[in-house]
Amino acid sequence: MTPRALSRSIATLALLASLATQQAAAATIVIVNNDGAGEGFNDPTPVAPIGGNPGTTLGQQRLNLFNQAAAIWGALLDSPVTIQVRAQMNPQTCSATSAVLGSAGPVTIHADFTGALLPGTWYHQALANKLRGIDNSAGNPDINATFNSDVDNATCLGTRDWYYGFDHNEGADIDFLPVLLHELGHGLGFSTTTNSSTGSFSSGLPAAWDWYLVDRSSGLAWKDMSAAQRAASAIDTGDLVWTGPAVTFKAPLVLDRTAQLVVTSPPGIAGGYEGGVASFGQALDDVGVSGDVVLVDDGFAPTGEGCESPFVNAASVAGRIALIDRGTCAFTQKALNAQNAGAIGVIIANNTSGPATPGGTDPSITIPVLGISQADGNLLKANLGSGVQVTLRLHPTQRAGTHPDGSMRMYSPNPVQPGSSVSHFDVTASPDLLMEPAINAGLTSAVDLTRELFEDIGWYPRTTGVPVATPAGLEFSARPNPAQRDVSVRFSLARESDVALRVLDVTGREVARLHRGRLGAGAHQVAWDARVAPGVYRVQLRAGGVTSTRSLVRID
Amino acid sequence: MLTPWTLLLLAASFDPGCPAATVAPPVAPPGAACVSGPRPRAWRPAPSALAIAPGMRIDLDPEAPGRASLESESMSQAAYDAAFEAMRAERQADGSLMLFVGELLQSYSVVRIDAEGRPVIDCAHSAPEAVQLSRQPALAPVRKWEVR
Repeated sequence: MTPRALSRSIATLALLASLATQQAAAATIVIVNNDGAGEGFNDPTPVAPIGGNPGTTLGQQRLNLFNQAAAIWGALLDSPVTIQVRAQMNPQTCSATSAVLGSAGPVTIHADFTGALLPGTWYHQALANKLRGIDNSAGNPDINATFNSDVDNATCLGTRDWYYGFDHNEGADIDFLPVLLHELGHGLGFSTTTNSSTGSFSSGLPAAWDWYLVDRSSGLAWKDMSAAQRAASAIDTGDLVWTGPAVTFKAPLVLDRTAQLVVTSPPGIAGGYEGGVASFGQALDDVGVSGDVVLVDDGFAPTGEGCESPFVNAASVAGRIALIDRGTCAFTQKALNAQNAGAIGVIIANNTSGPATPGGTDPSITIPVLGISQADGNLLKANLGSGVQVTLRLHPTQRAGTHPDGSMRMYSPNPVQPGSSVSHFDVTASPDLLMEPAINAGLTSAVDLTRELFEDIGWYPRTTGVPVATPAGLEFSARPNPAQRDVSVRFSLARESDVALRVLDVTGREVARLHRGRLGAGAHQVAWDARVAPGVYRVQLRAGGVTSTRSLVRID
Repeated sequence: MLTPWTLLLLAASFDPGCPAATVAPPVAPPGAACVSGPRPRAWRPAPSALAIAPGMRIDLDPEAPGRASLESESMSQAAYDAAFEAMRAERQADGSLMLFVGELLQSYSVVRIDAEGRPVIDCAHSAPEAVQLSRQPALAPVRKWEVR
């Protein structure tokens, strides 16, 4: 097992342990094997147990994995009604380079039943059953799930197969567990029942989703819009948000601070602009890097892409912040060329609409790199003649994936993208979330803000807005987990309180005291260098007479 | 595997006049009409609203051996939208509403192998979107963590 896989396994175990302690109640999710003899879940092909999956036939491993996903969601949710997932693995569309991995969704939806929280509103069957306390449609499964059995064949995606382990040690294969968790999440309620393409309601009624989906441009919730307004709203990039209180409350505890480009000169364009910090280069902080902006000239049209080195205007770039257009070569190549020219920072302007968060890996790059929108890039270029001075830094308050008003952004690209959906968190979220439209590599079995969104739509009693502590305890997180060093503990207080924050070992001995004193209402963050031996620790937060703890795994 | 169209046909085959049998007591009163489960009956033509949908294809035997192709089992976006519009809620005996959506609200995972050989997995919210997605290059114009 690789260290990464080990870490992710520990994270999964920690999650399950955490869920077990935080959620006394649970839901029973039953996987109904809908496959015929000798195929799908009943495939008798012998295989070796892998990654915690003890199955010794292909069919057993498939079913075990479905049951693992069911156990994870079942530990998180709470319902007196068994949730039935009708599942099958069948051959589906596949080629050497693309495949439909599978699908899941509700079979029926329900409104105006006893226990419904909102009138005239559709609920997915599993949630409707939970709210009503009985099965609204006993003859139908709550979720139908079909996944592609051909992925295990050489004719589909070449030698790449499904990975049926639970430890996310998929190597070159497709890690099945997060894919299944994601799609089951949609089936459990993480989606609107409204057609986001046309804006039409299902049979004339909005979804519970549509009460919390708000377009900041118009100020209207989807339930209050016309179909045409909803269709337009679905591509209102950056302004379509989730206003549910639980997600809004928890987002600052989960998400990283976003990057910001602050223009200090010329006055006509002075102000803050949103940016996406690159996955490589120097990390940004509150102070950041300041300097004059210079558009690079690499000598080959289009000259602003910075793909050739040395730059024609290397002397001008030295000691300044290089502005480079996205395109042609890797972000890391552009940044490295700028660094070699002496730049102290890099701004990469998108070459299409939407956000730009430069990705890649190159440890030799030691200057900060920030992506900005195409529109903002054009604005900078138009003002270069007046001398543009900027600072690249962390935004003081805004979190990656949130609107400036603090609400969570939902995915609404313009122009519309296939698979685009208002039923996903926005791709600007950082760290990656389970319910983004892209099921990103590195996702584990954590359900992050999905739990809070489920609270918003009715899976849990409303727990936000309660002074200081929720019924589940104080809202706080310690990340990363597992951690090697530099743990960030984040918590929110609904009112000013005396706060004690410390770290205990498994015997209850205090190994670090992180804070003691009075703190005001709002979000707080405390850094800890985690200079302790590898092992399991408990981070304990006490505020306003309420104590809450989180398990933390320290690894080498 | 049941296709969206098959499920729609099953939905269309619900008999609104059937006796109550599946609503769990005690909420549903005795003798209450109807229907919370599919009641397949003899084949009948698809509703006209569906039959005229542009680009529509119906697979009537999805459990037949052989590969099920998303292209053949799904539909154009226009046909999907027409099927979506054709859905009608049923009033239950207790006053609640139920809508059988079949596979119209399924979410699809699509994987594409990018130029660097990495799997890129995206989620689509309808069969037409999934088909369209699977035909596009692995790196859509707007993503994070792209390398270029």
